[in-house]
Amino acid sequence: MRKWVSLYLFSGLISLTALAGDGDYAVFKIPPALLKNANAVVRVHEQYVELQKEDRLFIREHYVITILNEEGNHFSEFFEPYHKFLEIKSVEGALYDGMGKKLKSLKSKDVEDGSGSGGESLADDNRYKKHNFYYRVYPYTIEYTIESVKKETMFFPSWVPVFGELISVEKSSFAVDVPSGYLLRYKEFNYSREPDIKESGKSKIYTWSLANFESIKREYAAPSWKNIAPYVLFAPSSFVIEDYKGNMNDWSSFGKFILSLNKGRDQLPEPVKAKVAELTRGAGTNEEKVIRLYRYLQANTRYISIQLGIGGWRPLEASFVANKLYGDCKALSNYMYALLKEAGIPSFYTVIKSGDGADDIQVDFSSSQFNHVILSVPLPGDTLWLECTSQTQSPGYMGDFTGNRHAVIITEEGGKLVTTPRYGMKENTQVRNVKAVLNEEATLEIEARSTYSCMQQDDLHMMINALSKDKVKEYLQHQLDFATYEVGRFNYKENQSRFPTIDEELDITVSNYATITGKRLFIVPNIMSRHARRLTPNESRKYEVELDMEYRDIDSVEITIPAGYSVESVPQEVVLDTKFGRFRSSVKMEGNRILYYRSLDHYAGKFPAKEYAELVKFYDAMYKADRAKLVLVKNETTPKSF
Amino acid sequence: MKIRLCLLLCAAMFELSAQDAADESRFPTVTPVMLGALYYPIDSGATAVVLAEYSETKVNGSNDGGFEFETRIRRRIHLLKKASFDRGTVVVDLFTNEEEQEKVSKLNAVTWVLEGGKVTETKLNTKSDVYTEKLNRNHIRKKFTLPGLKEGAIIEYEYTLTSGYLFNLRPWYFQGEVPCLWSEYRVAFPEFLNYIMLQQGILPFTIADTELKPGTYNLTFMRDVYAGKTVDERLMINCRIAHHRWVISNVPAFKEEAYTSSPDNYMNRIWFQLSGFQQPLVEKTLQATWPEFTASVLNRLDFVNEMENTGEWWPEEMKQVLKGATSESDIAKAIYSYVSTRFSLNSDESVRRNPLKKVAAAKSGNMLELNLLLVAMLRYAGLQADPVMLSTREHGYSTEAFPITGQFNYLVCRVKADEDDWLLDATHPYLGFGKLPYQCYNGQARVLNREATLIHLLPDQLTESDEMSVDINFNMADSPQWKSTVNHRYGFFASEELREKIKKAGLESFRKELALDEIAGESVSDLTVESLEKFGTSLQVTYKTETGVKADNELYLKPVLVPYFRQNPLKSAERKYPVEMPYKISQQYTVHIRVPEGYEVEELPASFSADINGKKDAAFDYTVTTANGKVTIQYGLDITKTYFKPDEYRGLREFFSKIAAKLEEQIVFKKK
Repeated sequence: MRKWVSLYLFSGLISLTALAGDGDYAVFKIPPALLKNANAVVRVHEQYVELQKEDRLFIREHYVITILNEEGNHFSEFFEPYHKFLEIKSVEGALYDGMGKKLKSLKSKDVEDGSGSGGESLADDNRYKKHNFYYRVYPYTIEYTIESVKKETMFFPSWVPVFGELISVEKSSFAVDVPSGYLLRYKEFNYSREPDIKESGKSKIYTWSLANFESIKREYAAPSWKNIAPYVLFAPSSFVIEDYKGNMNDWSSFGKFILSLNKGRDQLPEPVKAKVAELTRGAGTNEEKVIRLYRYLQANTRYISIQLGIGGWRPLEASFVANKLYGDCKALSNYMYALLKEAGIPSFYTVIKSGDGADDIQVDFSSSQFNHVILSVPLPGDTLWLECTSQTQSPGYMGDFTGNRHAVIITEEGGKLVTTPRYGMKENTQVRNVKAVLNEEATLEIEARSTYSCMQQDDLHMMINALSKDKVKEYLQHQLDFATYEVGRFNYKENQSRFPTIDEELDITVSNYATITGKRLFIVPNIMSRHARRLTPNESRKYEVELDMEYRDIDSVEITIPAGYSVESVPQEVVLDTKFGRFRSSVKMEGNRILYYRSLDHYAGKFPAKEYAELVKFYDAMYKADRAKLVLVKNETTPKSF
Repeated sequence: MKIRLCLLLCAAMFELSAQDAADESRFPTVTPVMLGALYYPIDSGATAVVLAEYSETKVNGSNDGGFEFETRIRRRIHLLKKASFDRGTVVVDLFTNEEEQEKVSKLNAVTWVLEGGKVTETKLNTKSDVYTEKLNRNHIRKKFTLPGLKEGAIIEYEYTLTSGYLFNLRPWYFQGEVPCLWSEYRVAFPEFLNYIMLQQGILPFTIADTELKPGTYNLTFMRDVYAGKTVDERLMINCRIAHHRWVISNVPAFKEEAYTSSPDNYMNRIWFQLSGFQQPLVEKTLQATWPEFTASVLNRLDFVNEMENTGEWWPEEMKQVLKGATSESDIAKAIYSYVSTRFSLNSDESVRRNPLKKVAAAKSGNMLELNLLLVAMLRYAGLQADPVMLSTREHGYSTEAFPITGQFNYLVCRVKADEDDWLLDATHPYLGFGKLPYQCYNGQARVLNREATLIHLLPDQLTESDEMSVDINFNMADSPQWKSTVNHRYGFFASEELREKIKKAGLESFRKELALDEIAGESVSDLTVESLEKFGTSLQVTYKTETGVKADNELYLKPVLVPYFRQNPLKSAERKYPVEMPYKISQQYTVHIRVPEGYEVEELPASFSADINGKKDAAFDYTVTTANGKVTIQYGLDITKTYFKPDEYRGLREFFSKIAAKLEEQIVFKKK
């Protein structure tokens, strides 16, 4: 088995299947170290990618995986997406038992073919082929060989030899075969060797390989996969997609290609031009004009994804959006660009990798790493960023979806790497003031007034804009951490700006908030801001701790309690000053009022693995402090007089 | 299933008359005033309101000698908030195969918005903007989105769906996620087609009418004249037609609640099943009796044929499995244990994929396959065993009066052993022999035997009993703390869940999970779980905890370490639907606390009881006693029925509220 791996690399011709003799995949041949902490083992995985023409990539993939137990089953499913530019030519497969004896071969009629658009899009080309042997006598082994052809060369597959956690890899290789003069671009992660390069006549074959890689176990707040497992990203130098040619050797040329896709697609119909003139009349500054036009966009368009063929990368024309009043991120950003252009304001179509908690792009590796488009408008002072697919977002605000990361703006001179706004400790705040009254039956009437800012308001912004008032109430009625309660009056007010905030007014009645046992009353003064997370200790933490979001919470609480109680026990002030954050809580009695104050600054950053234990301690200490109780004792009844 | 109808040759021929026009009055011309409405009294915070929806189904003669349904659907929605724009995208799923394709025609869609005080209209371009997605071999999806949408727009779309599948008619839902001012469904059945109608929901009909009117059906079919030559022949049937009409007005949005078996049981809807033909068609009863129905299910499952050659694929291991089993129940237990633990479930789908022979070889199958295999093996071993079909809780109730296709979604096995009947489910090994998941307890179950024996599986037949006893001792030396020893006997279904969890993640991960939940104490050690391998028995979990305390003048202790019902499971203040609990509940808790050295009891929780309906439906009894330096707290919680009507909701919620409060109470010790 080992021999033919190198063999095919020379010839590139030998079929990869049918070479495994009975028993080659027997489980006893797996090195014992690979069985440790593994639900499955990749026995062999070979990928061969050949740049056959400037617009054609041939891909052959062969893999064999041994499934060791029930938890490994999800690695046994064959799932291969395809679309207009990616055609699956053939699929072969086989099933083996633990001794490596072949039990079954795949029949083409058993391969399921389905639509892959998943209801997200109104129209796209995404489809998939899927297969599963559904064998469950452990261990067992599956084998698949897929040949496919890509009819564009803008995207090269990546090499991800380690599929996920708790799977180890016996042998994996990735070979790319390009014409001799072609500049193949790649970036390696956790791969220390140089690729093996073989040049023969007209072609040059690069090979990356991995052997006997032990499984990885995911840890809380661990770095992204690229930072812990071997990984190689690839990109073309020159490439072709449909009628478009490009080069992505640097961001500038990548940007020029995007520019060519968008060329001439910004023509607006006359009535819309007239509307632009009408809307911008009398606006004092360019910023004012941009905001008016953005509000017009938000009120008059909505996000509908139509991505057919080249439409996955090229925006629908501005006139289409003007006519239908819908489009995807490309179409809507291009439309907004056209509106601004009509108003004489330059702006940049901007490609970005969106998503809450998404890895940033590899800035030193210019390639198609993006899944979203926004618009950036250079204004005196600062750039204004526009999310054109949202009908509700503040102009200039990016949030957790597109903030705190790199993006590439598309200028007439080409692409340029930029950063989107950063939201840190000062911006991501939650300030809460609670006034509450406890009655003799231990029922607490709460008036909570909170202001959420920037990334702390993102979820709330989504909720109040997506749900009816009834549904918001239902959500609140299910979400709060009280045993039995009723949500009373509530109201939300959004203050839109580059740093948006939401003011929340929320009245709640909590039954039995305090516990009354005999003459004592037990009450937790932290009513609504209890740290919810405790971490499981891990003495053998392996990876760095990565905390993404910086935020600050400040709480002031005033609880009026029934007359006639005096303090028996008050929680002590807690001050925690750690690498991960700063926490303070204090409580005191003033007459029949409990006054509670709490603040938390939660930092972001990367911390060595050995400091994880301190994070566990920090969270535990906060958890405990946030639930500490006051104990009050009813004074002995004094004789009533009149 | 496509039904071709046999016509009597003597059928009379008549002229065709026009059908009634639909009710147009619900779709008046859109005016600026209508577009100006900011909200509707039915639900002032709604993001959208369906102003009217109307559907009508007719039976038409088709041009291939049969009949088909033609259903027109028209819907007008006021999109009040941007959040409702999803309703502007419409999806219609169609069934298709070689023989018969469902079709959509006469599609129109329009958006109206108010612009400068005037109504402007944008129409859907049905040529370029209707997309077709091939979902899989038998399903096609038509999709379109309304152009020109803005906040405050009124949209309307209509289309006609033609289907040759006469047996089932698509159900009509009067209730959905947004409120609806007028939901109307009409259907006209000729008297020669008998349909049974089923309806469900808690809202009454505003209108429910049936009217018989004369009418005519026009058919075209090909007749063989001589070899290879055919002529088109036209045929008209004159008959009476039953015109049904149902309306519900002012329908509120449907709201899902906890402890509801299936929302489908309460959402207002109406549906139909063809039960027979009458003259002038060849008379035929299609409405199967239960025995006919179960026979047809067995046939569809392809089970009858398979039973004949079971011996050929009987796994070799079975000889081992049956070694030493002599009594019928030993044999049944051995086979159940073999299939349930050695075979694995590969999907929940209820479609036959592989013959039993292959399932036996692969040691893996779906829910249907594994349970059919179990039946086959039990029969082969000489026992009387049958498949049993049922509808699970989440799938909704099934009708007992007559069989309705599509009402059953689950199959289990019944075996007779030593005079006793046992129900088995091979896909849930941890439940043990003779037990079904609680999801199966949803009313009717039918044995797939000649008699179609009816079995009632009711949640009231199940009780989840949980017992926990705890000893707490204080250690007031250098670092003061209290230590507990916990003995927890898990309920039956909780045991199944825990077995699965421990099997997957291991005991240590369960210990860590216990430690994260601070109710029992700060650290958890010495965890043992007894009877892990004895499937079907309750798990006995024991562990020790340690929790630091401050040796102040007062010591406080929360004596109830039980994780259940600390929060009220009934969140909403009001409820329109009944509460359906999956089983009855019985919980016992006992804790003995030794008074710490140097301290005395200062304050104790008071004994307490609460009940519903004078302890008939539920009772909670909490008692506190002290003796010999020990405090003992004991409580029992019993919920002895599973179905609570909406008017019992408040009482039940209050009951849970009192319990949650009581469980938080504390003991206070004071330094002597």
